Amino acid sequence: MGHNTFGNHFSVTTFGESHGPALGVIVDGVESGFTVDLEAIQKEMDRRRPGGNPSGTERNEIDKLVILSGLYEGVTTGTPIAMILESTNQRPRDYSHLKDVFRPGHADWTFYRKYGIRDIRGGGRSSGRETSARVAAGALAKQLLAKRGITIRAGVVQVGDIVAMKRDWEDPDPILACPDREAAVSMVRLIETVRKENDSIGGVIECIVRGAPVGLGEPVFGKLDALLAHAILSIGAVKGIQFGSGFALSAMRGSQANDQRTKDGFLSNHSGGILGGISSGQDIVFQAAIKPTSSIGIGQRTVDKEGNDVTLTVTGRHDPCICGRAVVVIEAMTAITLLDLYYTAFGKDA
Amino acid sequence: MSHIFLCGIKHSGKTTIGKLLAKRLGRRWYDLDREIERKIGEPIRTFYRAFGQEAFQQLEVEVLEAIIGEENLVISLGGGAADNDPLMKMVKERGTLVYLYLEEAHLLERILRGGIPPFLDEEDVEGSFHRLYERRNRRYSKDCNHLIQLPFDQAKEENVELVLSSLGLKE
Repeated sequence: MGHNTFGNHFSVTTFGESHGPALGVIVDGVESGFTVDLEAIQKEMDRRRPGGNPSGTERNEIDKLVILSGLYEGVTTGTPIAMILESTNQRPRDYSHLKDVFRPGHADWTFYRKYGIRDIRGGGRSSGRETSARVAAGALAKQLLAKRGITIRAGVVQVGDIVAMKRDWEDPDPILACPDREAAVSMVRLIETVRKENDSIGGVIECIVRGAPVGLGEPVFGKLDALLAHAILSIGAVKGIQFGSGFALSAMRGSQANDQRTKDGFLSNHSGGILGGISSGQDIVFQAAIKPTSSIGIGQRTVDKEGNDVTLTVTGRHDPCICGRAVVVIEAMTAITLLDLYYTAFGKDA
Repeated sequence: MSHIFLCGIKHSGKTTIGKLLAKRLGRRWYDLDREIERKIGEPIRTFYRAFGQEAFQQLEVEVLEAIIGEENLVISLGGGAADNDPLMKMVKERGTLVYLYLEEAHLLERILRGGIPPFLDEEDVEGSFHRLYERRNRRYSKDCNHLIQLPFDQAKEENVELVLSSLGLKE
């Protein structure tokens, strides 16, 4: 298949299938001599996993991180860092026989048509589990960025039609990391309602990067927004991304859209901190659209491999809304992209 | 909607869910195995051992035929319905076939809670169940109108709600 690696100077390669014995990631290009906070990486893993979050699936799957290479006494050596996550939740023969029926909304149909086979054990590479490997790599990238004064925060700002009005990033709610606690209460309530209806719902995650210097991004094909879009859209549930005022810019006049500047700095941030594909020194701000979970407890029409019509209801260990758990994945992919561009622009010693 | 037929591999909840489903819908419910036993006056296993598969399958068809004269029933089929071609044909013509699907490992775990049942090979419990599961799953997946994946160990009341919403019968 190829295309399992992202990044150049700091690169991340993930491997493994959702219900295989292990998932993992190889991180290459890391500077040497950096003391890694392993506990902080494990904490990030816990944010993604089900059960680490009340709105998530109730499945008790533990992502226990094992580091195989690249560290000596907790310090990076500059060699590739291989990390694996062993699945502890595997029941013997715990795989699905739904293989002959294409689940609506899932990658079953396209994988089958393209590759002629389907990983029957819960989606394989297209499973959300794969993102846990990215979270491990992203947690490391975050630490390397924090050392340079760059911090990344993301949170859910919309679930269904409930929209966060505030941006209180210092006091987000604990379930959805929503920067508007009041809105978060309604969001969680909506998710519960949807769960009772055996349905699912999507939302919007906003990400804000503080402390990024001017100069991240390599025109023309390595523009900061282009690479962030690449990184974020590679997350399975993401179907859209917008920077700054995003699609709303198309309804504005130039006189409204331009971020004017005085000697004290920019007067607005419609551009989301990116001009000409290069970070402007302002906060980098973008939003990602998350689709509703595909597996729902409502009958939906599909076909089996032989083309027979069937109405399928897929349930089991699924979240009615994955937004809460996707927050840390968005942060991880952002960190990976920014560190790569940082190394590209300023090198590893800066 | 005409009849709702529930099928599934052993211990997938056909009887329990069928009974509750009928109650929720205000319909009459029949359990085909129970109706057969009522007719022959002895346990199915005794009959099966004495007369064999072919005779039993013929009986299944006869008993079902006698029942489905009524309108709008909920009928729980026996675990072996998959192997009975004429029965499956009649089911498909007369109503909607709902397959209560459970993952193989989950189902086996549930079955083994009551010890190793006689239909499994004591020497090769997993293997014999796997073969049974594969054969019947293939048939039910192919023939059913609705395939409903039941979560492992969900309360029966919740399973009934799931079936209702799957069939679009939930207000």
